[in-house]
Amino acid sequence: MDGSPVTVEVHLSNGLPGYTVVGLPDASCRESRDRVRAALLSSGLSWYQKRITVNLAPTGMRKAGAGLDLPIAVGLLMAGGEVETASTEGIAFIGELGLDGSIRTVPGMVSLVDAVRANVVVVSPAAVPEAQIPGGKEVRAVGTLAELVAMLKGMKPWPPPPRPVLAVAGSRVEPGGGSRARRTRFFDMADVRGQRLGRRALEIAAAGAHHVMLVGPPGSGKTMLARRLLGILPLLTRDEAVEVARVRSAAGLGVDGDVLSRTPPFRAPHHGASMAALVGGGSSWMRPGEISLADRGVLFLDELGEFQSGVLDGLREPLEEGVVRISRARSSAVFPARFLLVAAMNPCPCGEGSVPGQCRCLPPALARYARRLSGPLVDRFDIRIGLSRPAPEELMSKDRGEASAPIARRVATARQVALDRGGCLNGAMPDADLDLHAPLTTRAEAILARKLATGSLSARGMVRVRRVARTIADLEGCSGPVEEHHLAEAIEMRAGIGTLAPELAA
Amino acid sequence: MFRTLPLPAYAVALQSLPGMSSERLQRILAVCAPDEAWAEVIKGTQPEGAGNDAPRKEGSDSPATTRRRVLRWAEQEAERTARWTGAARNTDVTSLWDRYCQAGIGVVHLRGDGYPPELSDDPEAPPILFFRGSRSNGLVELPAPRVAMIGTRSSTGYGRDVATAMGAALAEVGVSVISGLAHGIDTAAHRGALSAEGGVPIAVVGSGLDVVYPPSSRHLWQQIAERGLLISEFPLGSSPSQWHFPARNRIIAALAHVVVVVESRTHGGAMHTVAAADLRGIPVMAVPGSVKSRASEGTNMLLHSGSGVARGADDVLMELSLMGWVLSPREASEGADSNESATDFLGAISPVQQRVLEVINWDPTPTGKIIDRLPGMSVGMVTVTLAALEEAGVVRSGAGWWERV
Repeated sequence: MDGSPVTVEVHLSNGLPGYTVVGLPDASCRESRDRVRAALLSSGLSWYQKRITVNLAPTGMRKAGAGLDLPIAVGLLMAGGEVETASTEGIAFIGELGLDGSIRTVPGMVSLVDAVRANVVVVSPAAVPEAQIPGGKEVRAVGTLAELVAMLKGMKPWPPPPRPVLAVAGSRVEPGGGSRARRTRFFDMADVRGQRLGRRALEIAAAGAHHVMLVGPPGSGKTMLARRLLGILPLLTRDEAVEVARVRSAAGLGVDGDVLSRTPPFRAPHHGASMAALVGGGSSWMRPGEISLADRGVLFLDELGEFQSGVLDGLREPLEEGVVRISRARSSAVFPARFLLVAAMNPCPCGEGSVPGQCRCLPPALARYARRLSGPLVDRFDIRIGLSRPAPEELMSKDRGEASAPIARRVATARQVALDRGGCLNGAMPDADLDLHAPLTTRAEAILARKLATGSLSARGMVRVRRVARTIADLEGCSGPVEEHHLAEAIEMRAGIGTLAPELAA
Repeated sequence: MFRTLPLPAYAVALQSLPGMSSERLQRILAVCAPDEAWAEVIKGTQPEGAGNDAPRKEGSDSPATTRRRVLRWAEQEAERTARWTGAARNTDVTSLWDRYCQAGIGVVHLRGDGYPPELSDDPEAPPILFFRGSRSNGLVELPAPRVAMIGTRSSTGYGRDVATAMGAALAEVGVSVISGLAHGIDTAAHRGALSAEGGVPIAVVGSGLDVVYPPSSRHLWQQIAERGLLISEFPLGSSPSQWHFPARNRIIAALAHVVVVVESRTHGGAMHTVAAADLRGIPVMAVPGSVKSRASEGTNMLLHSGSGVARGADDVLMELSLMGWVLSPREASEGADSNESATDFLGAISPVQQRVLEVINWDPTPTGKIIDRLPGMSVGMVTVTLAALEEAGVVRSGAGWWERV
């Protein structure tokens, strides 16, 4: 996801008038000829009737996109003697040109600005918030090529430095869809009536960074709960916020307004998503996928069973490593992907199979449904709970549930405890540290032994259960060994996927 | 090379003819021995009973219409006979029969030797029955008395428990448990029956005896072949078509002395069997279930409309004894024992455990519901209490749900 600086060399010589770009340009780079020509003419400058050669160095690397329009235009003006070479010393130019000579922004501005060696960067005014995020560079916002030429010639002063971008604490925005700038009250846990199991599961998930799978019939509040996870996660640190902004910028999503949002991202791709959309990819422009856009935040996959199984299996390595490595024949990229995965699905095709006897599906149909999810993926979910539709009296009840704010405080405390103890959140605790950081009391051990003996818990399940139990103990403020009620709750948090693949339940 | 083949070989050959339905074969075999019918087919004539009745003149039909219909009928009859003859001349009866001999499968046909008398007068008597199992040495003697235990495939733990316990208790006193080897209740009943010493379990299946369906029942299938009897009316290699199962159900009903429905919805395979049993005057009993459990809707409906109540094996044995079967119920003492231990524990229960126990149903209750029904209790407290109750054996956990036992 890091940018690399490109040096643009322009050579004018006598000969048959022509324009050649060398140095592995892609189609949009080659098209720069027409944009640059029109922009120069519209800005009252002239086009050189000479043999023009533009070299993009280093030549071995593919260049894509129109961000090199502006440097090519400036290079041409320097080669033609329109502006002094000295006046551009130490200045980098990033931008696409409009036919009218206006300067436009391009995707990946954060990384591009970060990558250039010059101390001064000229970008379009629209790109200023993004360009400022890396910090350490003087950003100059210039609207048109004509203005830029005037400034380079010293006929016009450079614009004043823009207002610095601030990380605004507590700014919560509507998750998923909608404009990030449209700041609305975030979804509050107080709106959830009943569903104590679901609320509890989210609290544990947020505190320990455990991936969650919510299984329940339609109308049981899976989506409602998942959207409220954002409100109980801690706000991003400045470094994290920069990382998030960098990914958004690389995906061409930009940064809204002049603030660096500290709200964790929430991404909810539709189940039709392709591998490239979810994991990232592309040919010349490597675009980060939804899992990278959800970095440091929440990736919500509704109707998990409807995703293509190949696409879902693509999540497995990123879930383990926290990054996604995309390799194509001509390029490769590494994007961050440390997200909290929340998946929701119906327990069976008819939707009613949370408990036996309610479902109309026949065993072969159930088996087919369960086969859509690979065992290794299901295994990544530390928390798997079944939700049922709330009773009418719960829906009509006037008492609201506990609000997000106190839950968020508990979550933050528990996270800090875990970080102080092992240097990582419990969801990522190495197996080897379990006995050190999450020892069990004798009675808790007895419960675990019984579950292992009856076969309702596998060895791998046991490790996951112990991590969750540690988080539950942390939430309770219990720093000693994991007690039986922590463990019993952790086991229950993993037990519940109803008639969906009971063999995977362990 | 020619050797004399037994009669069932020709019955199998007749069954293999194209377009030979079960009803048509039944009509043929009711009036005609299989070898004679086969000889007729080879000769190019139609065996007696094989054809459809000639159309009669209907009230409003003009003579011309009737004539047209009769002509069409005659054409169809001739066409079928020709098709059969063609197929029959290409059929190697010997090798067809050898397949059954090699597979160790017994074959009996309607009006033939060894055909169960229980079925021979049945209005929908299967023309051919295939047997496999310890008792199938060509002539099949069905053990008696026989109880069919049927129910839904999407059963609850309660239903399967009852089926297993009842199957075991019935087998213990020598009752033969009949079922269909489907998922759910069928499987549970046979598991129970196999766990006991006595009784000859009988499974009537809806596929050829070499096609194990459902595939997950392979082990049970083999056990029944070893200790009991597998029955099918479908030839080797038949895949389990959808219509095979209702057809199979009529055999289950016809073979049973009593039909017990353990769990069923108001519609479904088990209810087909009940209808078939009613048609034949075979008593139907139902196991009562929770009025809130969908899996017990059908059984509770049967009880409401007057079926016998089957609370356990004793009730079924009582029904059998009214029919003249004298069996000594030995299992009664065991059942009482297990109830006692649960009662013992209920005496020693703590107030917290009592509160949790009160909100758990006898049918599966989702964990989330249990937690929501105990608003004052922390999730950790609820789960640890559930674990203790499970250890004591008064509740059982499933994948995300709990039920009382």
